[in-house]
Amino acid sequence: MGSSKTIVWFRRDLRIEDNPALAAAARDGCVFPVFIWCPKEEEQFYPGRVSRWWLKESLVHLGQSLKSLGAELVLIKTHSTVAALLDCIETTGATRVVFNRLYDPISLVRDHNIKEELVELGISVQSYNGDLLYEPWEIYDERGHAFTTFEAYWDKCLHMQMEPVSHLPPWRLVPAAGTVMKSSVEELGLEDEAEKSSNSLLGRGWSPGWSNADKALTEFAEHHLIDYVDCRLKVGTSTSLLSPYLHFGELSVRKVFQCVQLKQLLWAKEENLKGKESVTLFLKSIGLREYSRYLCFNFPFTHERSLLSNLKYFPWNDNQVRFKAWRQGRTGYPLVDAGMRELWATGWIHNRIRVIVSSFAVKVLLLPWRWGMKYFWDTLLDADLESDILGWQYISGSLPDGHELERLDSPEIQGSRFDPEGEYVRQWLPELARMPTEWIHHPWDATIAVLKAAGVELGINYPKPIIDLDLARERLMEAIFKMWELEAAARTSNTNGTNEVVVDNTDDSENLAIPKVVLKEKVTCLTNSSNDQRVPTNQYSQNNPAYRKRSKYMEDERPQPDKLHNDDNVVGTSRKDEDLSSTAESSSAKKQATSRCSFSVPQYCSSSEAKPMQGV
Amino acid sequence: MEGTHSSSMKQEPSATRKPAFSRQPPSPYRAETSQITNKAQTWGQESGPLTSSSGRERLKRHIEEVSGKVMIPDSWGQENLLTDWIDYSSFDKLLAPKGITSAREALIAEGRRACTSPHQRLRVESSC
Repeated sequence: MGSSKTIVWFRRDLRIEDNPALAAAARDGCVFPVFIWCPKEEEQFYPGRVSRWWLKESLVHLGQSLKSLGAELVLIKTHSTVAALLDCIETTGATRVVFNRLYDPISLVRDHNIKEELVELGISVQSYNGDLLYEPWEIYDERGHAFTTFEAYWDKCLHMQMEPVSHLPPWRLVPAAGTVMKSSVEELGLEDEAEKSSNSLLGRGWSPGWSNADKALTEFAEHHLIDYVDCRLKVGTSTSLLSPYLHFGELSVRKVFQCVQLKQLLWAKEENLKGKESVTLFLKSIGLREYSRYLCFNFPFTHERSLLSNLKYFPWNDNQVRFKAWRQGRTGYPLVDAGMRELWATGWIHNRIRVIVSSFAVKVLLLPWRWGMKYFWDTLLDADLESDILGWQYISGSLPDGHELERLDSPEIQGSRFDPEGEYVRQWLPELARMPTEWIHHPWDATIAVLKAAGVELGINYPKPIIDLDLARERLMEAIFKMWELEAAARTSNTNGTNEVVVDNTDDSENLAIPKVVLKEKVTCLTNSSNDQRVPTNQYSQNNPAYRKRSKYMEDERPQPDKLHNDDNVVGTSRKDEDLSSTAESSSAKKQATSRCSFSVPQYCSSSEAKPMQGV
Repeated sequence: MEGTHSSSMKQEPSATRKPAFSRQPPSPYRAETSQITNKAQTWGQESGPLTSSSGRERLKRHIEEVSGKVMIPDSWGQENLLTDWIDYSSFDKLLAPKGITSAREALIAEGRRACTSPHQRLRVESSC
């Protein structure tokens, strides 16, 4: 062990196992672990109530662990993170600051600025990968470009070599002495008085903290991973429940990956088909979490070409009454209402439900997507910026493999597929508890006698549908046409102003949905991935906006295996592979009409599914 | 709002608590591992919710208790901000903070440098 003094700056890596920054500091000498809470720097992404609750609990947990190892976790509330770090440096005489990297745009810039400032002052700053299996610049295709489809990306990842890592925490921490203006966990203000009663509800269902994360992983791997393939099929079931732990870094994703890989080896040896499928699906959800970081990092938002640019001109309906009905689970569509009530009560909902309720908000109610995102941000325990961005792209038509913007799913049909017996709806909507299964997802179609026998009075004890779906489809198409008009007008205006030629449907890189991002200038040898070439060159078209109309979404609504969610619906390996392949191909071929910026992503990373990836 | 009880984390029985490190991988540092395990048990006792029931069962029980009587408050704390969240550009701007390009490039450079460092614990190598 050396004799240097190191500040270990904890962020979303609230664990002692497989924590590279902590391990490096412990190896080299005395450590000064610190968590800095700076609400001002969080800006609009100030964590929501439930996230802050989780963070608070997790910090207590981490603090106890670090204390047991020999060093106290210092909590600081400040208006400037760099000022707080400098205070720590000054008081301890530390010469080095270490932390684990974050990749979201806000953290990226903040960390860079802080590092520059500290380095200028002669402080050594080192960061580590504690959050990902593969960092965003490590994965590229054979031309050295960033991948733009999930399947190709993940295939490459799975062919990479990874050295096994030891997950053991440092044996002992030697504290660096120093007195700073520290806060108690209460003084951080992560939870205000008005929130405490709501948060207590969360405390009855969840156990934050790294050792609880460890337990949850063990329990999942030993008892529930085998059924993962089935859990993805039915709402009202639990998946891995690891997403909040992963978000806060209480669980090392490398540990999760290696743990699950062991199961994969075992089940492969036993020729356990279901086990193998479950592992593949679960690892994909881990892959989607990785991919959300990969996309955000490699294709950062710009004003000219936003990841969500196709929503820029969408004429939202800023109807607060509708928003309230959605938020309170009072839309009259049972599956949506059940999901929103579960979200409020537990801080977590199944991936499927995330897609269903967020799509309903955007497509049926035409509510501004940011309202939905903000509400999720405030109520989901695993709220995560990169995953959220990926998710909203998925349902809003920004992704070739995701939903088309004009797609509008019927909650009734979704209900018959994912809650066939209506158990989930009955659980969360007691007012429909006695409704026969036949009508549970569309009570408005039931006869008066059926409703009466079930004790349901539509409009009295359960709402009538907030809007007829046919009307909603009309409104959605009107909105899309309006969006195209506005977009075209803006483009024309821009073209006139800059004297540039607008070229549609060409292979011109200027006009590509996704700009090429070169991660490696020259690659001297090829990878063995057969999917690396799936980078779309011409996946969008904006010259023919009016093509797919009713027939398309009517087709989408048929109760058939959900091709967009095929990974969730695997029955057999061959079936799944077939679906995955056909989806990727068809998505490339069908050309996005609604988006100039069409990221190719996964079949199931919605906002919904985005959390899901977390929501693994 | 349902559920006004405080978190039960500290009220759970401790008799059947299990070590947090129940699955230590084989390690040359075996002696250290066993001591760490003892510490981990201590942490578990200090930090609470290691209970006889699993986290999953706990969540399931919680859902069963609350699912039939969820009352979502009439107002949401951020409702008054809704009108500020219609404008698309401010959000986009926020996600493209000034300096993102240089921050990204600097991190890539640092990450690649670290990859060649013998101290980097995880080495990811290409398949070539």
